[in-house]
Amino acid sequence: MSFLRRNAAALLLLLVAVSFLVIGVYREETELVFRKAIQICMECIGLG
Amino acid sequence: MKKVVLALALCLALCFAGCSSEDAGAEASGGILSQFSAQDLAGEAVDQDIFKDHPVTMVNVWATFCSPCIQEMPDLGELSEEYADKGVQIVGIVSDVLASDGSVDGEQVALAQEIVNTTAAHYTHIVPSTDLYPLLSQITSVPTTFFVDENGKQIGSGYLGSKDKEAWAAILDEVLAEVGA
Amino acid sequence: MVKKIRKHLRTIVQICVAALTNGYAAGFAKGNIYKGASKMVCVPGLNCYSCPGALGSCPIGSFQAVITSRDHAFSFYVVGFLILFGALLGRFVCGWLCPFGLVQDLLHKIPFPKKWKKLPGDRVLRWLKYVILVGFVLVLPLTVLDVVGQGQPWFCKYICPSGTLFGGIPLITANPALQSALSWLFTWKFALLLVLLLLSVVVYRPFCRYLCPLGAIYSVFNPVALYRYTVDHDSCTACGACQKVCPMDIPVHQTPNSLECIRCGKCRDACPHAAIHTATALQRKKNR
Repeated sequence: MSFLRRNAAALLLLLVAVSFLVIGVYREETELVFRKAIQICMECIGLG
Repeated sequence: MKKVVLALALCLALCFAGCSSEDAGAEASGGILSQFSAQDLAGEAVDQDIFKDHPVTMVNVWATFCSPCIQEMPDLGELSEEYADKGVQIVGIVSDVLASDGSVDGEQVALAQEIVNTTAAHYTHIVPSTDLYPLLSQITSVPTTFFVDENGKQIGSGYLGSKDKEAWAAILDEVLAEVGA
Repeated sequence: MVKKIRKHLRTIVQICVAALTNGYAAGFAKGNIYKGASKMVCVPGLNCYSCPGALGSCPIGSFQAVITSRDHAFSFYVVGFLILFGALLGRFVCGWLCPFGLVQDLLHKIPFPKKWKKLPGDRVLRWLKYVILVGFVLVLPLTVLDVVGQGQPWFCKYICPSGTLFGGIPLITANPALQSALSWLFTWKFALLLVLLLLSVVVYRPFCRYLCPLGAIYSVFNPVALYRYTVDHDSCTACGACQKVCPMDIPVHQTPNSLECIRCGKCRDACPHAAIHTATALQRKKNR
């Protein structure tokens, strides 16, 4: 069996992953992640 | 054995790094609010004159996604009314209404306004402008609260995290006593 | 020298990755966090973005960050990262790229009179991480909303020991102003962290086996990831040496891609017939 056949599932998933990443960027989810990631989440570190 | 030593070294490094602490919250603002120009949520112009007539202004930096911030805002709204005759005003700064390119995000502003309405925190809320970047870059957690005098200069220390109404009232009384108002 | 490196390769990689992805040293000194653009990129392991050194963001934290906002109930961006890492590596991430995994590994090296292969109730406990994934990472953040319809990061807030260890403790140590904000929540999270750290001395990787939602996600990729194991049944004699040496107690010769396997590779080193391979390696061997 070729590399492609044996790893078909993984390669297909990689394709899905890349599409999802692109869709996410298009939906401006990166802004959202960034905005929250640069402020200390007091709750996350247990200071709620 | 080597792994254990490496791990211990990492821990020690962390500890030493931690020891060289600064009162980051306290030295946040300094005179940074003594000169600035920005807008409030409604789009009206705001500058350092906002502090002119009040011996004490409580500046509360918050964010729309921050639930502790939202939870204390009703109390802050009440305090701003109760302490008005003692010369105290409360001003909010919304820290997450800007996009990563620095432009104002209309939807975020609308969300902030909705939060203000729902929590009845009816005092001025500032939308940061480039003048406020130096202040904002030092704010790493929300809510951060500090106090300034009529000239926008900091009084006393800064506070990180939310508090209940009694706690804030006690702190306000302390600051008022310090200022001698 | 080369032999020594090979022997400790996994630990060396773990330390390097932890140092690289948490390289913002100034954060530790000043008690604040990195604000650069790389924060919008997810790292593969459980690495809180509130860690002073963190240069990237935790996928679990980022996922909750997106779905707790009013506009989104799902994050294509973060799930994209998860599928990317999963399809390439599966739980190799757990074994080689996660800082909290590293901490548990190091603690387990501490000698202790009686080490346990697993906790009582192991078979049931293993499913807890999937329950935590669905409950604390998905459902609760989506359903328990504040006055304007935003959710909270339940897993980060109530459970994650990685955030407490790498974020909470350094920040509180370096930033006295944060100390006055401590509450019962910190007591709970610190207690949970302590229990897990102490348990790690006795049992191997208790958090990864029973609680980690990120490990739960990557686990389903184990059978199909590009990096996966195969057993050469021409060489395998079912002697059980692999299971004996496996810290997760997996019968590798039967289930080389078990959901519990974090790809530490001890089975491959222990097999007397060299029957366990990565999928690509076995194909190369057969092609010769």
